[in-house]
Amino acid sequence: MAIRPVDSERCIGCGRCIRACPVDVIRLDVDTNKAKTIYPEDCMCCACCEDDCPVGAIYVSPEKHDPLMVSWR
Amino acid sequence: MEHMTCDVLVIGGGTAGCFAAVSAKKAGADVLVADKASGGYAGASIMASGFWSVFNPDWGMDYDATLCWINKNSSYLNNRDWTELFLRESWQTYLDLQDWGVPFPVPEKEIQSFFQKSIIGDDAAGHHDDDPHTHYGIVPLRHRAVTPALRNYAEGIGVHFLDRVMITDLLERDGRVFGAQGFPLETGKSFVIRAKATVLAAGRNYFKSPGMNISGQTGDADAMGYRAGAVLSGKEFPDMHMNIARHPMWKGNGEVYPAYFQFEDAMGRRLPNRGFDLSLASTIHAGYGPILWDFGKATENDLRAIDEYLKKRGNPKEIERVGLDPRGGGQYPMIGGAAAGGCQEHTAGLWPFDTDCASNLTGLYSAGDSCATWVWGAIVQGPPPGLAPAAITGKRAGKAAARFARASEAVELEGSELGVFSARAFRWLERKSGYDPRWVIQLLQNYMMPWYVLHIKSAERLTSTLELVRFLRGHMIPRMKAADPHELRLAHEADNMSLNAEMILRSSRMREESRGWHFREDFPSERDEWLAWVLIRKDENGEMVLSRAPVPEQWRPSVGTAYASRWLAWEHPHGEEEQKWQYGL
Ligand SMILES: Cc1cc2nc3c(=O)[nH]c(=O)nc-3n(C[C@H](O)[C@H](O)[C@H](O)COP(=O)(O)OP(=O)(O)OC[C@H]3O[C@@H](n4cnc5c(N)ncnc54)[C@H](O)[C@@H]3O)c2cc1C
Ligand code: SF4
Ligand code: SF4
Repeated sequence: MAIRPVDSERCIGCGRCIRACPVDVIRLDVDTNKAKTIYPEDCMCCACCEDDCPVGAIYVSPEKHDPLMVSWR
Repeated sequence: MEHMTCDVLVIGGGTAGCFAAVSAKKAGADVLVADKASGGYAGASIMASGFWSVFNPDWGMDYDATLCWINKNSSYLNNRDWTELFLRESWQTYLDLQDWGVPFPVPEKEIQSFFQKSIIGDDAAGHHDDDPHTHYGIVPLRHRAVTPALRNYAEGIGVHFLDRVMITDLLERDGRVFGAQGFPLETGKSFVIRAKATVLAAGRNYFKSPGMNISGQTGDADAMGYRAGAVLSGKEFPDMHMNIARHPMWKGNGEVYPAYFQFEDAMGRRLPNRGFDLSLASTIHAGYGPILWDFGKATENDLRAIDEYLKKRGNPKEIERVGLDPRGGGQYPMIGGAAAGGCQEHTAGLWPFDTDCASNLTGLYSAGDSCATWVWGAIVQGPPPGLAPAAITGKRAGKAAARFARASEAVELEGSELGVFSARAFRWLERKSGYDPRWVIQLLQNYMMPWYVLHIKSAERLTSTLELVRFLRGHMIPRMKAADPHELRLAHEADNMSLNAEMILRSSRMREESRGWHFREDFPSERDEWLAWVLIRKDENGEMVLSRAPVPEQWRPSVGTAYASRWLAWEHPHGEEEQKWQYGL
């Protein structure tokens, strides 16, 4: 959930998603020069990375892990 | 270990940090901005997609009427010096944005008509609304366009940005702050930045609540200021932002709310004040949940208004992400704690001892959400605008810091100091085993985020929660284990958030009254003796001490006049009538 693995076929290694992520979820893999989600569990679903990726290599699902539990139903 | 020096160090590169950096640079200082994410791409600033607030008499706004309205809406807890600075300086900050290349979605000429038609007087759907914005102007913003442009401009004039460097603590000796310490997220190497003057502009505290895109704001500024000996204030007034439960991170909400606020409780009653207050929490507390945003009741006029907003400002991708379909007539459950743990914009933070944002520590200034200007006081009706005040405090702090730097000598590190600073910063990395910082954060969320702790308060619940938080601070925090620099950042954040939690709980317990967005079930009304601010600091023994600073006599309302004329009683949540149904009292 939240950020899905980066589509490495598309990724051109520009680093914009890394700059866009406020909470350090994504890093650049130095060997492949592609973006990689290293800490997906810390993703807050803001989709800034997805918005900034020039080649559409990122998809962020709005659901974070489990559906948010609300007090009243 | 890497050593760096500069005249002015700005911690945090949001709106306040960028404005501070630019004004310090223009005053001749050599400026470094350190950000734990990327300066210009993080903080509340990058998520703020609504409006830049301005006061401009040329748009037909009246200075005295606006000031009077803000005083009332602040329940007289505003620091009037800062409210007046907002009235006098906000327009210039908007002109600065234009000069510095910030793009706006609506052309200048259209802004006036947009705001007159939609915000002042009648809105696009023909509702007359007594929105707080009636009293000042608001310029629509393009999402994620402001701070990236500010950063660009700042770099253009020679400001240096250190990205992805987590600042952990201020360097302080005998009440003099001379820079900060931190580490880059990639290498985890120790960074020591010595500065003649330091501006803390690292935003607010939230508890990484599952909403509002605020997981990066963990009260680091307030925590490091507190540890260094700064006086803080404003922790008892919570932020009340709400959002839809399906996707509480939705940043496009501002595109639809202004056109159509129809929040209802389970009995089908419309919530007052557009939900930007205690009404969500109190409705749940009184047993009338859930709260639904009901598009089934939208008239054709409403739908046209929504379309117009979306056309002008909407991000279609966002709407799709959220699955919002206004014309489909759905009911969307709302959550009230989308901003859980945050204090109101510019209420909590370091106490500014003058209008240059100086703290009580020599060489330390604060700006933006880290500076407790109390510009909007206790807030009765929100949301309060944070961006323009962040720019105003940033400009003032940056300029004053540059002036201070020019007149002072660099401070050298002494003997064992570095070892002491480093040991604190890296202690969680060195442990072989320990608690996972993420788990500690989750515990803290469970303690702090329920509405009956943070929003609908009582002495007993505050005291019990304080016990839990104290235990967490004493037992879990020292025993966390960070596997790498990323987790080390999380460990620092957990420590900082829990310190903020303690400040919130203690201040909330001390204020034995209800005012604006601070509500105490056991003291449900305003009490005139609480026309005062709570100040927080660390004493010589390292204990947290709270004190009370009365609002100056000349800023108080006349207590001889009737309640209704002193406050905005018609919309005030602590009037008797409202209490009856809102709180089930
Ligand atoms: C979702 C949302 C919408 C909003 N909408 C509006 C609006 O429409 N209009 C309005 O006027 N106000 C709005 N506000 C309020 C406004 O955004 C804030 O008041 C304002 O952005 C504060 O700016 P700042 O520079 O003080 O802090 P921030 O923008 O939060 O910047 C703080 C910076 O400090 C960095 N930082 C934090 N800790 C550290 C550390 N330890 N080391 C290094 N760097 C650190 C962060 O990464 C960040 O870049 C909104 C707030 C939110 C959350
Ligand atoms: S959605 Fe936001 S938090 Fe998640 S990886 Fe992308 S930028 Fe980071
Ligand atoms: S923004 Fe897109 S292309 Fe650039 S590094 Fe990230 S995933 Fe790759």
